[in-house]
Amino acid sequence: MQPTISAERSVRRVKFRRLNFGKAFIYLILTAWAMTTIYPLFWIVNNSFKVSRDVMNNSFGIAWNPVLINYDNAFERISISKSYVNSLIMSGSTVLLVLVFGGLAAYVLSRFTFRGKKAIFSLLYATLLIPAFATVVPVYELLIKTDLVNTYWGLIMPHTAGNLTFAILVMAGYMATIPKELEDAAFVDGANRFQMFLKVFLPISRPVFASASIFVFLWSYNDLFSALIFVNKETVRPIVALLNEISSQYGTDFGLMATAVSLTVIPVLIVYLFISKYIQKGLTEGAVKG
Amino acid sequence: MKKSSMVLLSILLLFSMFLAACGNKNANPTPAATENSATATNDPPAEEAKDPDPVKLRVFSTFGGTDAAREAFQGAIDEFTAKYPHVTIENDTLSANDDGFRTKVNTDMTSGNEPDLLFYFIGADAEGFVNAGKVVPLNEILDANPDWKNGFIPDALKLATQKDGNIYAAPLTGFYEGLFVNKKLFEDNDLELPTDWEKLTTAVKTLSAKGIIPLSVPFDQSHYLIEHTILSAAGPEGQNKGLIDGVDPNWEKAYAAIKELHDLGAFPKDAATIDLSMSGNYYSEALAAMTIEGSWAVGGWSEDTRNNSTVLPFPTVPGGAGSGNDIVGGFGSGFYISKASYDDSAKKDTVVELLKHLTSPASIQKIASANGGTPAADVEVTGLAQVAIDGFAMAANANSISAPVDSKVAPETFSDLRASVGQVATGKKTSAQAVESAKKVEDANKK
Amino acid sequence: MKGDRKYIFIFLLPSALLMTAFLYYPFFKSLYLSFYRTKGFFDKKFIGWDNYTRLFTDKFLGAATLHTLEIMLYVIVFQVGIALVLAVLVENISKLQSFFRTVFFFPVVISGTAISLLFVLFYNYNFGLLNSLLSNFGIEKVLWLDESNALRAVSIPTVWHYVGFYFILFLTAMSKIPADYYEAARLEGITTFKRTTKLTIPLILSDIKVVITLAITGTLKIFEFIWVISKGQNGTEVLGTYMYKKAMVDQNFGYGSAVAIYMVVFGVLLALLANRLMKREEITY
Repeated sequence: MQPTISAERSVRRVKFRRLNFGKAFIYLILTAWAMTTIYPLFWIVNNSFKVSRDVMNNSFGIAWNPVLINYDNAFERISISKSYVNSLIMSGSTVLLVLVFGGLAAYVLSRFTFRGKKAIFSLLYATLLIPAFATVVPVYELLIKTDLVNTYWGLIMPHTAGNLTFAILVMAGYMATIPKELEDAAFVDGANRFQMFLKVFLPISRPVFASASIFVFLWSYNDLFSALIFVNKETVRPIVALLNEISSQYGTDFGLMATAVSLTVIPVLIVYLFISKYIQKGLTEGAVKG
Repeated sequence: MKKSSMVLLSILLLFSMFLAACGNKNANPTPAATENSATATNDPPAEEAKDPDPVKLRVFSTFGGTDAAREAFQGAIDEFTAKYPHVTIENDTLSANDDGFRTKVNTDMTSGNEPDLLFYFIGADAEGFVNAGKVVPLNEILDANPDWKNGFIPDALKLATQKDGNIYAAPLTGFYEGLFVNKKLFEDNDLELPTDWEKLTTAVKTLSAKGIIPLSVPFDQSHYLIEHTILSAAGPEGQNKGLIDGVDPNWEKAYAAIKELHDLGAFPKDAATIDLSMSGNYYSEALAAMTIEGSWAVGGWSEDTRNNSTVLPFPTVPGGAGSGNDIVGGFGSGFYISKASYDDSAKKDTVVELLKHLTSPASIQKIASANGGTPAADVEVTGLAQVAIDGFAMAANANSISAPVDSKVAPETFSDLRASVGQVATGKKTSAQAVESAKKVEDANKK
Repeated sequence: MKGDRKYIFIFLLPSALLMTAFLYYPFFKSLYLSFYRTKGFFDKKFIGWDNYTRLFTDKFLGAATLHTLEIMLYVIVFQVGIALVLAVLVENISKLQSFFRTVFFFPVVISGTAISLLFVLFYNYNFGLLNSLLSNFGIEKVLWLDESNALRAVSIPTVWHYVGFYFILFLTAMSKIPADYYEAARLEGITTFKRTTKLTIPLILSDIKVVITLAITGTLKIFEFIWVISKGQNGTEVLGTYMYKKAMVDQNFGYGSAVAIYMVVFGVLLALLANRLMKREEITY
């Protein structure tokens, strides 16, 4: 009796220790990766406080004596806040439209059976492959004809169209795996398709809506090329276009470039930190409900 | 380039005070008087007596963001609107460095979204909308407004002439390119300034042995290296012919010279992997003793380097047809009037007036002082660095000033010429093959 | 269900309209242009299939295709792989979960251009970080972006930038696995490793497929990193940069459009192939 018990105990102890070791190893890997993702951010902000020469010759040193000249240069001539508002309006509307339109389309594509569904999916995958440079000129012509150049809609519509594909695919993938019973229950309650979407699929799919919204927002927010061509006017210009203008003339001024990047990234990061709480809530809620 | 115009350019530098005063007088033309003569033929006389209807004009230019001349340009526009309160001007800008710039301008021009005044490149870049009749030739307007026309240096107008012999763009400030040399690094190493090929190669050998980059240029964005080697190899005439009607055998010598320089260790070790801004940094940080650049680059260098720099014409490559005193330069861009607004009788007179104002000697003087370019009018530009003054002198004393070779061939051909630089330098291609392959691309583009 | 036809139509309509106006119509305009020899924006001449025959003889395009495929391999193996590993690991820890979730996403927030700039300064021959480290140890400097290294050098930021993106997609997918599955697994005494391979991964297989398809299509369009870090020199030209050079730099829209068409067709074939290879019974809950 005795020996068996002790053997069992030691086995358990070994397992316990190994588990701990395994956990430590996991944390080690995760921390190592986290370093690679935090450092560049630090690097950019750090260098925004240096003059260009120091960025070049000693970009990895810490700016112990921060200089604000780059920020002075960036703020000197321009109304940065107006551009932040523009960015927020345009990228925010893009997210909203993509979620509403894309959500409906994803719902149809994931929960309905109809002829041509496969073809639509293939078409969507093909759409992901269209390079932005291949569409920019005709889109611009279209915007000129519809008088949308240099208006908020002039960026919102192409961005919405451009991001729908990705959003539909990801959201449809998520909705496809929602248990059928939930749908049937709602159907028995006499809900029509639209109510079902609102009452069943929208709440359950919150995590995927949240992640999609972040990506769509970022793509829209960081897309410089379209912004420069479609909405490059002081009253509607988004922040990327503005900061690009600041840094493009002095392409060699790395300090100013770092400042431009910092000024673009930091607000998004703050927003992201807020949203990420929501996402995590969505993620855990999703798990409980599913 | 005509000697007479060079003399004129020198005169402008010497008697600048006097001429600036003249310019200021020219800057205030009486609109009614000049206008009528310009437009009498097509239009009923404008009703100046009445209260004028409001006019809205869109000006599209590169004077935005951190452009050195941004404020000067906005100032010139404000002067105009102060004088003509019924006119509102939308000052639309985009940096020419942006990839979207050409695309936006050309799409605007094709889709009926033309700005009333467009500040854009002169030469091959503009050929598309010029040939499509989207902008009006300025010749008649210039002739009808002698005050305005005489404000320009004749040479500036000549360099602004399009292939078909007409002037479509009114120039503002120009540029020159050349071999920029860090005098201090040359003195420190007991070297003579590279005024000819032998001195250049001697300097290259000495500097390279000491671990200083002799000539900082990138292989991929080798625009200026190619422009200068081809100009000095083929001479101004040979360069001007481009590749359309056959290959000038002298073009090969440009690549042979690049190969020779490379073998002597002239280029940065990482020339194949850097871009123009990094190569500029090497020069700016005095890691390199020479670079080939344009007048616009001077403002971006560190103060020490700027103060130590001078600029020389690129020496003639071995066997080259150039004189050793030929430079690349010109008036790279100017203001176009779109056909649509010129045909719009409500806008026509105002647009012409605005153009005259923006390119008046007074405006040119302000903008040239702000950005360090060569002014298109007889005006004094103050507060420039020594190297900029050297540059003006170089331009004034040059035997010839040619537009860069990329304006003589198709864009795709120029890309091919650039792509060959690295390959010839490292021996993967012969110089003959480089020119041959460019010729092939040029032919395909002509089809 | 009754009346579904109506809903299918109504729900798809807004997306279909927008995408038709801003994606398909412009793309077909490109298709049309690909049959022309264009010179800038104003001159064009019908040349039939010439641009397409040029595609097949263009050795630069062939090289660009191979480079793209090599980067695609790195992206699928490392980017998707690392993202999956990280997602599984984060799913298995209790503390700091939200911290890692947040910071792993940082690179995605920073624009590709900014990250490229960072790597330009990593790789620079004269004063880059890597060479400074080497010379501290007395090792000779390395040309990180020359022909033997460049493609891998540009692949590193490419892979690294979007790991956080797929990481979040995987976490999202894992979140829908019912909690009682894990509960059952625990009661059965299954090890964590086994649980991952036998339960988690099969259950998110359909999402892995979506991610791999996104990775394939995303890699085909890859542009920024290569454009900023190497300008496509030294054996790093990819389809995205090549198309850009032809259409925007050389202003040859006709041939540029033909390259764009080639990219789409090539990508569809690849995606089909990938889906065929990954075909397995999908699990529904």
